Amino acid sequence: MINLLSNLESGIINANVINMANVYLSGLSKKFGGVTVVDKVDVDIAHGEFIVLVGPSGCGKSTTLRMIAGLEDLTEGDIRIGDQNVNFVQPKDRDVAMVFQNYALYPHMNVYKNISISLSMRGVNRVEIDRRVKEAAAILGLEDLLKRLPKQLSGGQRQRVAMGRAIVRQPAVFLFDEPLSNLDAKLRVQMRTEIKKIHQRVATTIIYVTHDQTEAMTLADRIVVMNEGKIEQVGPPQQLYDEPKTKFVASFIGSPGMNFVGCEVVKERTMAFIKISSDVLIPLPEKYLSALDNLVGRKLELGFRPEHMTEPRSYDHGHEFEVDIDVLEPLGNDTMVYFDFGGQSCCARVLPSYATNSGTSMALELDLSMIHLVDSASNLIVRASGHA
Amino acid sequence: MTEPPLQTRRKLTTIDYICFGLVGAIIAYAVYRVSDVLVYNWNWSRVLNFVIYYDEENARYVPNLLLKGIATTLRLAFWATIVAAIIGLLMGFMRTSKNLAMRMISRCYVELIRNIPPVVFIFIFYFFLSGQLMPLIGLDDIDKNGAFVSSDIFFTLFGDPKLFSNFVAGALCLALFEGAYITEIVRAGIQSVPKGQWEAARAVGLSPLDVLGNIIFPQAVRKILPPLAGQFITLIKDSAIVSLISIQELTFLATEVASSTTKVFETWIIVGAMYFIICYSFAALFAHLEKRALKARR
Repeated sequence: MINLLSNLESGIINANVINMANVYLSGLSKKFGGVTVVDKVDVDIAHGEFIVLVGPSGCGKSTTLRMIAGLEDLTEGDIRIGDQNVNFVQPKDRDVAMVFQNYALYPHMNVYKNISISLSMRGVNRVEIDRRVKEAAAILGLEDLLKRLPKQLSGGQRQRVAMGRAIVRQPAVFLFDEPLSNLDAKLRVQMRTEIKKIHQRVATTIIYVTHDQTEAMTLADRIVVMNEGKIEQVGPPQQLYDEPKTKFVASFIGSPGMNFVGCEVVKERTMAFIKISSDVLIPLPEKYLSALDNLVGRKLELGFRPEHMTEPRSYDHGHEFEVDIDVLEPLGNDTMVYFDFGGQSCCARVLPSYATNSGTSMALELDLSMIHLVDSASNLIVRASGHA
Repeated sequence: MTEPPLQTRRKLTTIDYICFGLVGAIIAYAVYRVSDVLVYNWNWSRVLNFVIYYDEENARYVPNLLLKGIATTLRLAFWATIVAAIIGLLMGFMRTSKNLAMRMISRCYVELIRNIPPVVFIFIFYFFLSGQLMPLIGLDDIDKNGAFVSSDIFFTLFGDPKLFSNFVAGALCLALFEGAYITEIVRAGIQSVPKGQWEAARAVGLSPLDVLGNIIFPQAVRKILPPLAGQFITLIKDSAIVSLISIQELTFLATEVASSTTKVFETWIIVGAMYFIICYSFAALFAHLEKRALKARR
């Protein structure tokens, strides 16, 4: 594994050379025939920001990226890079560089030529081309591979070459289309770190598409969660994790996803409860008390993450349950416990030592300060005010 | 799990012997029919004299009509292939263009030629070319006694200067006809390059023309060359059709030899063998070159 950090710290690529650019997407839509694949997408991306578009397959994230690159015509809306509207600008004139999922290296050219081709086509002089290629190769640890053909490279090396091809152009915006999905798990983690380091060094705007929410969480300054062509939520990773706005975001961000159980809020004298089934009542957390009247009688779902349902830890706002275990999944540092809860299969995260000693049932504690209520009709997370 | 590749057998089995026996029987029957039923008087030497004969005056063997015909056939094939390749490249690029008009023009050209019998096409185009185009570009008025025209180089490349405009018309007819097939080879070659290659090149700032010239075409060439070589061999065989418009290539001269000697079987068997030797030699050469290219690529 190359020591990227030392390469980066040696100041190989000068961040000042690279153009800075804000990217504005407003009302961006794309229809294929009668099918809308991207529906009125609005995002403002600051220069130097690392934005990740994340969502399930077919949610329109790659199409959005391709529209920014100019590889796909847009049906409606505007794309601005810097102060230029690029709706009808050729890809070569957009000052963007894209890295593809399958690398798309030119098989008849060696690594050096693959990286330098865009510069030589633009008439950059040979000395400058050589300097830039060698700088990019140094950053990416490709110095010894410059004479090789793509077929002689491993997956990780090919990915580096694809990145090198983008870096040498010194574009205003880097576009990454699921660049790590063809790599094995270990290499994916390594490359993730490298991409992050490169971004810190070159400080260019990066728009990155992935369906892997772990990748999104670790790389992004802000995440754009997409579903069925629409934006569900935009925000920093931690905010999306802690304060999801929709059931979809809550279930998509976090691994494993959030558990959801049908429930209703009931009032009994001076107390308020979340009723999951006739025999399961949970005290309504304080944050929802001000909205009690709004919640009673509504069809709701209780949402909680596996990491907030654990072995008893005496939380300040905890509630203990006895559950029947369906499946135990040891992961080494944790064990996932699958159990039936209010007629739904749910998942909790416990210490391995705790799981080993349990029989067919187990005591678990839910941290009530971390639960969410979802309005079943709109699939929106209920805010403390009681409104979805 | 994938199945292991079928092994090619080296030993002959009973079925192989039966097959050989059947083929032998068919050949023997054909020979019997020709010799007994036709009561044909074979005379090979008479026709072989038209391939090569002994010039007593200069005391050496000299190529006769049929060998000269082969030379013309190869010249025709050579020039027709070059022109057809240019037409095919141009039309092939047009066929894959985003521009509808370009696609329609090239498609009309391909469909027109593929759906007209070659004989009809050759007649139409020959009379148009020789009647209209040749006088227009001044080929009929070429100085037959000029230094270059009367040189050995000119003769090697184009044959008899007196028949030059005739030769050009024939080569162009063949080229236009074969160009349609080369167009489809080029189109298939270009379209065989993954779409991602276009996109990757455009996404790192190459213009559409740069993409085509530097990224797509070099990859397409690898797919285009083998069928193009095959098309060259087809063109050698197809060149026989221009005998209908009095181009003095192998088939035209064979017709003359057959009628003047009345040795029809001998003439056409020899001509068939000549075509076979030429085409098979080229096929073997191209197969060898392809093998070498594959080795070099590995």
